Amino acid sequence: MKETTIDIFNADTSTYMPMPYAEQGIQAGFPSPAQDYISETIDLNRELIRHPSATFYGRVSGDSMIEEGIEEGDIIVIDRAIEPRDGDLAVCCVDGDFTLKHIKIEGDHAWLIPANESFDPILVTGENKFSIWGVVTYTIKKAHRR
Amino acid sequence: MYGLVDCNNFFVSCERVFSPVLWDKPVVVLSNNDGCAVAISNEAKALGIRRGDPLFKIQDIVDKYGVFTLSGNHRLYGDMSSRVMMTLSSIFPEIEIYSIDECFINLDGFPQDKLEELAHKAVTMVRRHTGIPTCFGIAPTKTLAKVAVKFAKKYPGYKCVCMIDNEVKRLKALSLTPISDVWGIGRRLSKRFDTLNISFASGFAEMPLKQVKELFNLPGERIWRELNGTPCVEDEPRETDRKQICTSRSFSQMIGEITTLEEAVSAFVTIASRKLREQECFTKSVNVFIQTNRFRDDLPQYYGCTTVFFDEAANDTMTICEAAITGLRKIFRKGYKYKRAGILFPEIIAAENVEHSLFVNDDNRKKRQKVMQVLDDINTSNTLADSVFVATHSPISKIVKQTSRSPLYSTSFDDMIVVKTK
Repeated sequence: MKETTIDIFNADTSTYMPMPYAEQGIQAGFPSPAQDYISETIDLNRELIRHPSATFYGRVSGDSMIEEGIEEGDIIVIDRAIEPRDGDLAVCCVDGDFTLKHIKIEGDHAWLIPANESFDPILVTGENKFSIWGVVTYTIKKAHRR
Repeated sequence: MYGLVDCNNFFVSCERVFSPVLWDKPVVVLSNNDGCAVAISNEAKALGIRRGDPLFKIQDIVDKYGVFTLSGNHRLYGDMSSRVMMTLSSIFPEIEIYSIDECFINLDGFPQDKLEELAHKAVTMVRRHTGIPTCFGIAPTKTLAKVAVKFAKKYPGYKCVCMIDNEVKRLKALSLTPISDVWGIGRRLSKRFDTLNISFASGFAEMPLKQVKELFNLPGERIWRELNGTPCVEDEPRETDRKQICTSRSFSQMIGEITTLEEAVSAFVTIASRKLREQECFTKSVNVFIQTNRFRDDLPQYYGCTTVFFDEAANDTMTICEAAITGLRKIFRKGYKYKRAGILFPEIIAAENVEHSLFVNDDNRKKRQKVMQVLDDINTSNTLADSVFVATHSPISKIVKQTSRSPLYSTSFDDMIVVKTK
């Protein structure tokens, strides 16, 4: 059993990687010029990242969030511009370490809730050096394992 | 009114964003060549470590108190700088990047009684979005804004924002500011003030204009005017105070095409890199920025900014131009009308401090130097030679040789391999 921790990376949203999007499907037979059927492109940077200058990527390590399907090696998109709310999945700093948990705020203290039966929730009080580093907006999982 | 946003212990703050363990510890960031302290956390300052101290001199303190010493990660700092600037430009339409960790803000058009509140909002937002702590100075001139930001940093009571907006505050601030701390007062002018027995900025500001004109040349007179509340520093950084070189322009017409922006950016590089060579300096990186027209509420607004680093510090137009164009292509977004663009060399260094990279071919280096020499010699007084690069319509990659820098596949998201989907 390993605590879920995260390595943080800067997100580069400056690149532009358009993926061709064929509106009417691609027909066999008489090919039309590319410009005619590629009417739009999908850029995941734009779709998934609302605040480019506040967005960072992290790579998940450990299995304390496994029951929610977040596994070792997954990439998370972290948006620091979002105000953390009760129940959010967030990257937290506790006593000098990054950890990925759901946050539950109760008055002057907070609970960090794992998604794995073998882990206990972590109580955070004024005694701890604690901050919420950023709210997780997406998790990216590699599906193709070959 | 002008604002000046200055990041606190910038390099250290960048490191702390990604290493919470460093939060309340003494931290020193070292220069990569000679092992000097270039950025120092407040905790390390309290131990007596000062900017510029060589590592061997402070080694005892480092060992005794467990000071964290880090080598500079300038790519990270460049990225974090862009994030800070982009966050600020989402609040303020007109920002002027002055260095990697400072920018001036034109506050004209904002209600005067709301400025402090707005500045607090900006400081909070930059901290929240990027993790970088900043201080905000507000004053009628850039020189006074520089004074104000020093107070905001020094005294916690200001809560990171200090505004000089009346005579009482201005005189008080100047009477507490050593003259050598004033923006633009270099070593030579400092000595001058020593002989005049002036040690605080107030002593200079209170001098009658007639006497100022007798004793100082134009730059001195400008500083005097600025200290007295009359803005006279233009957008461009001053000759005497160059840690960096910046060339930027507003366009007469808005530009939507990348090819036109490429030509403009090539022109900026041509001008700025010539300044570099004139000063016998090199740059480690080039920062490119493009901006839409803030006065056109009816049009979508965008501000893009990025920094491209060199394997080895450069001062030839070709290498810098290629990098600047690469940067431009990264930040360019279709569908916007651009009103302003520019380039900045955030960190320039003297020729003798250039470290040669193993990966840059010596022959190429010599050839490039020779080409630049020839171009600079052809005509130093007009821009005929410069137009070789400016007027060309061919893709920059065709006239510029690829440098031999290999991509940082594993450590940089910028250099991740591109997989074609065709």
